[in-house]
Amino acid sequence: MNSIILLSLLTVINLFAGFSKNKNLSFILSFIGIAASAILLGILWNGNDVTNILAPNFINHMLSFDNTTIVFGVLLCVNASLIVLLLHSHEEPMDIPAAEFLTLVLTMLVGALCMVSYTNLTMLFLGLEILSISAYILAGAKKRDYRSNEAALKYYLMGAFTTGVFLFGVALIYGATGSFDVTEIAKYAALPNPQSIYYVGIILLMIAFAFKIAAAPFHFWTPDVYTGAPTLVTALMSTLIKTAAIVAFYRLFNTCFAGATNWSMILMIMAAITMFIGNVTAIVQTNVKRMLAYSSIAHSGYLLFALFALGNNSGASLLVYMAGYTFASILAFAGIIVVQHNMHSNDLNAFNGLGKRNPILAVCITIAMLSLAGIPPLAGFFGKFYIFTNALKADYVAISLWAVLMSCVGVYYYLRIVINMFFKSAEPDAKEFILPASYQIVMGICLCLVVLLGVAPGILSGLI
Amino acid sequence: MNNLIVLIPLLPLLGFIINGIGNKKLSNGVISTIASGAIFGSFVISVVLFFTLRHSFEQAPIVVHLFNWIDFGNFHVPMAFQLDALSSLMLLIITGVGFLIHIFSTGYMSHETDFARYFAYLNLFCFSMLMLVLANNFLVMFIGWEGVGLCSYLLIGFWFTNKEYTAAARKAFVMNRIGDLAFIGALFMMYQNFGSLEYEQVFKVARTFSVDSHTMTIITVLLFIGATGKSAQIPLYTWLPDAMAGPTPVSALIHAATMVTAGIFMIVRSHVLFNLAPWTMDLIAVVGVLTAIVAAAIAITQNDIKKVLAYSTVSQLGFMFLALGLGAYSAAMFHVMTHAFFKALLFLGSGSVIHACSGNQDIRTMGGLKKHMPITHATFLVGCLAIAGIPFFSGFFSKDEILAFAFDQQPILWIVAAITAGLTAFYMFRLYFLTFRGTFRGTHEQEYHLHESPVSMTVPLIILAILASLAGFLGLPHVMGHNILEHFLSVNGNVLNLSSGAEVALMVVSVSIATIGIFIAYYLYVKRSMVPEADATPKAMTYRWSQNKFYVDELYDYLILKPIHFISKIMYSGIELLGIDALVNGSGNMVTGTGNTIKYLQYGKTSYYLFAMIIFIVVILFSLFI
Repeated sequence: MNSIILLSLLTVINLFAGFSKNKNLSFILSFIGIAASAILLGILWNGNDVTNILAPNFINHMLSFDNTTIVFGVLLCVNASLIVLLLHSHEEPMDIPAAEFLTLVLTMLVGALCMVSYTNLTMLFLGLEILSISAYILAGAKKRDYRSNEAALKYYLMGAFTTGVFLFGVALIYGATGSFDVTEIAKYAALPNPQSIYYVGIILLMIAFAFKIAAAPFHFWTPDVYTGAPTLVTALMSTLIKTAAIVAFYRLFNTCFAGATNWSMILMIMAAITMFIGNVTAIVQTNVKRMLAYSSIAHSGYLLFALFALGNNSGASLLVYMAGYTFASILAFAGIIVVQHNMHSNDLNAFNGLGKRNPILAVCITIAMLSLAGIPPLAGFFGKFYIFTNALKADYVAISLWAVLMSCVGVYYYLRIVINMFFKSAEPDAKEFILPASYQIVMGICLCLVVLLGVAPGILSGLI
Repeated sequence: MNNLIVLIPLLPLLGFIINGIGNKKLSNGVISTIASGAIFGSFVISVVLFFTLRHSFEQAPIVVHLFNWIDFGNFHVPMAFQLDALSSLMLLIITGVGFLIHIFSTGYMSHETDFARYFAYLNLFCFSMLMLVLANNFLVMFIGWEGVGLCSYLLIGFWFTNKEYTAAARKAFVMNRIGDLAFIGALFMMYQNFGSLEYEQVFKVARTFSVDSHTMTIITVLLFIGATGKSAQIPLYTWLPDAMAGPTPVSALIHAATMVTAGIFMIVRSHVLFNLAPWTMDLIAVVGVLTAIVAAAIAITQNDIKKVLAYSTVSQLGFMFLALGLGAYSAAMFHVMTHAFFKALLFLGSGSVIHACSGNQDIRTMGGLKKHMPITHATFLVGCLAIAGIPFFSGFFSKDEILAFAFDQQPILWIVAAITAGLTAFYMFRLYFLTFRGTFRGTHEQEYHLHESPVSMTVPLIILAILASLAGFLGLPHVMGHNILEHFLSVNGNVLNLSSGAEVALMVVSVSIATIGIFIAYYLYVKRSMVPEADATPKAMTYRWSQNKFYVDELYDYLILKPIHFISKIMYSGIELLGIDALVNGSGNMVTGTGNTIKYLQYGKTSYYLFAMIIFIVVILFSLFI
């Protein structure tokens, strides 16, 4: 709770910091604020809230900070701080001042923290909207760019539509159960013969979440928005928003709807379609950003495994998966930003000969791609391994086979960029790109984490 | 204090990373300081830990748990290190000898352009080897096991522009892989039967199995096959002589002192399992003694200075396996230690000779090097005396302990081993006399270049010579005093039941055999100044067989490679081209085609997207109520 309060205050202060002559002030404030909120989350571990003046269940039990929340909360903070670091070097110029951008990132983080800690559907709705509205604005952060504007508008229109769906679902569930509180809803769910409007409510919530994590057939916004938005924002959307949404999704279904079984079939079909559309369409893309957008859709398909094959290990496998995916994605997007800045293009051909020119950058991107493809011993492999093993234990054999098959398809497009980097030669006058210090730091951290989590996934999976 | 163990493998790893990344940017001085400093740091820590902790080894091994490496379902493998008598002995050998060889390399490789790559690999090798011995479960050991194999491959093929060398590297790698496959099989069997891969748990459960049970025999045989790959025993020994393609210090470190003893270390480590499988033990003893005599018989006719030493290594490793097979674990480890000293010494000495002769390795064109290279000559002689088993040099004690065990349990094994010892003395002194005595047989230009090696090369030689002379006193036979090493290791194996008289008699016999071998070599190559004839001259059949290594390579070629090539040709033209290629390309085209079609779903119009979403919502809700 303290971390949410701190970050909310900081968003206001940060806007004023934008007036300061010191350009770094808002960066320092945001960075320290995010670090402090991560620490404030960390000290709640195992309910040891010695410094917290407020009880862990605050505002009438609307938020709760259990260990699962804390781990994911810290992951979100790390995720946001890496993005803040990347913003600092102005490798990708935005049309809005840095202080505003940072404020919006902090707001997103507040929303995301609400989404991973809610115990009441109103709180979930608040978090979701705080997160989404900031994201709509950020997607249009290059306001003189036609594509960025298009992305923001599309995202907003479709997001608003989904909000309607979400609220309608909440209303129906309230109608059936008489409460917004998840524990009350869970009690109702345990009763025999629930009303059918309750099921319709669940399905509508599910659809709203599917939209947020970009699962098919509600993924249509993703390729257009991911491609049009500034790349840094795309990185934010495909990591931070996805983590917050999937964890909220998981919390809801794990606590309330675990008893209802007929939705798991729908989720499974959704996962199958998502993996198919994501992977197969990614193959024919020549724009790397768009390719990663489809890859992000494909990953949502794998994430859905943790929901329909719900079990004791689902939380842990989700954590390993999301951590690996987050760091590999940031690594990949950082690489793309550097290439885009120097080559003014996101085309696959812009990566030609990068292995010769910038071997370290090329190796970083390669590691990111291999991790996303799920090659051992990188983090992405263990994420997939845990998720598929869980599904197999719960006897979801056919869908697991399908997922492995789709992963094979995925390897093709991830390796395509590697092939372009190492086996195709660049134009003769191409120069070596200079990596700004903050990029070196972020990419170094991500690289280490991707390798470390691949070598020792036990350090994360043992936490929850 | 105990956590210092972590630094032992970590320092060489850091050295590898720094030298690997700073490849082109660092100067030779910096590179060699980092590499040697890293291994020296490990050595110092090993020594400190050894002296502070050696008394606590008797109660329980010291385990340092780093993190849970694999933690899923019932399968738990920690990343943990274990320090006990056995691993601390190996640590001292690896870091001590390794450090000397690093120093030697700074001189030997000084003309090399790829200096950093060489030292990076050397450090990586030390890291892997240290992981192998420090592991506290079989899977971490396997990391090291694979790591040393990889480094061996990289270093044999260090001069990768030479096709022959890369072929040798490939051969070593493939031979090792065959052994590794068996090792992996053993790991699977262990996990299935013992439910764990941690030493303590494996051994605890294994003790509940009956002696000579099928499970135990299969596991131990698989482990032994793994060991034959890494430690160059019949039938997988042929890679080691070819591995001499690498730089000579590498041959000293990897292919004499450390990596090739990994198999012996592994068997001693899992001796609890082997004690329960007497059948496997007999197999090990027979394979060991056969390898020893076959390799010795090949060594007597070789003319390449490093080839002689390579076959001698195979032969000595055979001795160690003989000891293992007889249950004389501490004798095997004793021989591992003394062999590490004198064989590293001999290899480095040969390196010094090769360095002086500008790369020439043929002993027929050497001779009379004694007056040009006094230090190399003296130290090399010490090495020869040690390996030949002349009293009070280290090899004498370690080899005699093995011979005594053989005599005690199976006199036939003893006879073969004693003959091998005689052959060893002969070929080593043949090498010594041809290289250092007589007159120089090379060209004048070569003679002009002859010089003693620089200090960085001679100092390691001197230190190793001292160790090779004195290390034997750690394992005195019972007649002479207390066997410190056996007491320290305290591995639960067979005990020697020989009377003092018999022990003394055996010593006398083996010393006389060695002396006869040396005398014959002296008579042939000094008295009669014989020089082996050129390859083309016709020779007796037995000589030809020995010189051509009993045609084992050709036999493998004929029996294994030819059929495999034949089958693979059929597979390629029949199944690969017609079946798999068509299938793979077809499915690839199908997927791309599908992708090209469904990408048009992404129409670009928001109204269309919203419409599609509503349709899908309706479909899903409808499906709920069907």
